[in-house]
Amino acid sequence: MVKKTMLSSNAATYGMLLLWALIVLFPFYWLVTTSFKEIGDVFRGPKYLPWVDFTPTTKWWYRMWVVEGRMLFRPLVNSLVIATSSSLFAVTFGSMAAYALERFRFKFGPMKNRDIFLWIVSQRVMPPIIIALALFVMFHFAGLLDTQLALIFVYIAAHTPIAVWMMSNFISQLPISIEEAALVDGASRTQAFFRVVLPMIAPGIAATFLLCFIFAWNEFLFALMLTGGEAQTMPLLIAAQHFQRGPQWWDISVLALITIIPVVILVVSLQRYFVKGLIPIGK
Amino acid sequence: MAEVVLHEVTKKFGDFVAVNALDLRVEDGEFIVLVGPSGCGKTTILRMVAGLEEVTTGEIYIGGRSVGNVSPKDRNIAMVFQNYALYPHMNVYGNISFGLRLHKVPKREIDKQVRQVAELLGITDKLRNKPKELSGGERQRVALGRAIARHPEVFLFDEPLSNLDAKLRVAMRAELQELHYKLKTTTIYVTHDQAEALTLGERVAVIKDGVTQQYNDPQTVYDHPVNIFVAGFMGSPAMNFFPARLTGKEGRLYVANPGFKLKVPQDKIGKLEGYLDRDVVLGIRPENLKTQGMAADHDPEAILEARVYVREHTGDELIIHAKTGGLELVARLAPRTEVAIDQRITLVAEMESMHIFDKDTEETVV
Repeated sequence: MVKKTMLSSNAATYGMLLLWALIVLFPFYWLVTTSFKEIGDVFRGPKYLPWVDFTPTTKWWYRMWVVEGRMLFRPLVNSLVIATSSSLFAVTFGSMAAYALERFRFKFGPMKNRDIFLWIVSQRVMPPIIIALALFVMFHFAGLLDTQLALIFVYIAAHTPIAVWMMSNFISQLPISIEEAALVDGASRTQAFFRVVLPMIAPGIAATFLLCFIFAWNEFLFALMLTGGEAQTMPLLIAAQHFQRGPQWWDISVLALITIIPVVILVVSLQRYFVKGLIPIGK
Repeated sequence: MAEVVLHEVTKKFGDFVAVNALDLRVEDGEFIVLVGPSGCGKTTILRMVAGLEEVTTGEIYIGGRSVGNVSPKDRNIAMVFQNYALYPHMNVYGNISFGLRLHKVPKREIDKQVRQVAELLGITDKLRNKPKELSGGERQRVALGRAIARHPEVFLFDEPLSNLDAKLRVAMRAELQELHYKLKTTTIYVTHDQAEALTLGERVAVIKDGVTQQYNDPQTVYDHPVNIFVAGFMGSPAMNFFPARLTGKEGRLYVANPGFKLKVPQDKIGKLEGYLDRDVVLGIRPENLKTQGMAADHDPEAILEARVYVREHTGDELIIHAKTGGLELVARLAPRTEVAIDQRITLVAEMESMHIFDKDTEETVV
């Protein structure tokens, strides 16, 4: 009897998960199949199964990689450079700020640690469109419009608060006594941070880096405002397939898949840091 | 090797005075225990010696050197934390050798030291394990090993045994004693457990509200507590305290209350003269209340009657809770004493070992 109920509740659980997985994965399936469809198969009503209701073609992939390779290459490199460097800086600044806020007591006018923290994190509350025009003017005068540097600056500014927020969560969970043990053992503050704290918050750093990277990677508004042909990023290139020539769904699909691949690689390569087991012993 | 001296050390957190003008002297090679209830400031004292907490006013000397402006890493101390505070990302070898590596000790020397320490603590087969793979007792040993490996001048222990189960705690207590006998390093040990304090300390400092109440060898602290706080804190079950009045009659002195009237031994009368016909507090430890069978030739004027309401068998003794004249008392009796709940029992008070405290100052009179 007991076994039966467990079986049926298990079945229900897996049923729900399967349903949810279908909902999540179907758009990806559609993306992949669309990238292999002829124009006619895209527009002539839904075609679901390759070799059954349509004959797949690799010509869009060929065109994008080989014929239009130059068009694709620059935005891809831009995206990689901008997202990687801005996330590295955001995570570095964020971790250091978070560590300082968690471990030292500050007074800045009437503001104490919690207020400073809130002040930093609240930068994210404001809708970014509000400052887009101001940034445009600013970068125009600085001569940085349509450069990688412009977006790197903006993304560092935008993502450091997120990094502070996430990292202070991780750091606050570390028992302070482990650092104190290092100090007593003969480490300076800097040594304690790099040799003891940093390895312990590595999973947090990996997670934060990933989040900042994905935000920067997918960002559209500032990229649209601040870049043109030179520093264009992948989301702009994808959008351009629609804006300039009507909806080119096959090209959009190919580009979207190319855009997803680096993030997937990143997640997989950072995965080992997410493995639990670095959770401190004791309290 | 070094002596540690605290001179009028005060620590304030905002308006809260955690440690108040504390003087403490730990001789070279001595093992002292700071004991007191939680929040009494004992851990703060230890942390100030370690340099993890700044001193508000006063001076701390380690080996004759004032360490006010010396950072923890340069104090040549080692600390064992309550939660062990092992580095989770390093294996046991890494944990023990961390301090040596920071001090740029040659690799071969480090290896020798680590193996020696591991041998001493019986964790040689665990050197490659991560802390999370170890049991509580093993983690405790690694924490000890990390402290020992550097040959510091002073060991600081912050409740190192409180996360262990009772049996292991007793075993580790013995190991710590043995270790101190071998190493002879100056040690300051903080605990809230009075039994730990009495067993481990060569001297015990009982702390309350950031002030040392008494600083002496364990037996003296136990036998001659200076006030009601120390008397009540040290010893388990705790000392019985009875409000009472000193009355005199024909050159004899009695300490009396509605439950009983006990004769004060002649040799103690001298100090009590000023308290005649005044209210005092009488203190008697549970083991100084005996059944008539246990106390051979007892004074008939040292007897009190009580009604038993709780019996606790511990195997080697019988603890009873009883009431006399509305006052509660605890007595520690021989294990097979025949006594039932609600039964009246006649107890003999060993008045040689009693204490009289001033009711207002709570100081010991005799």
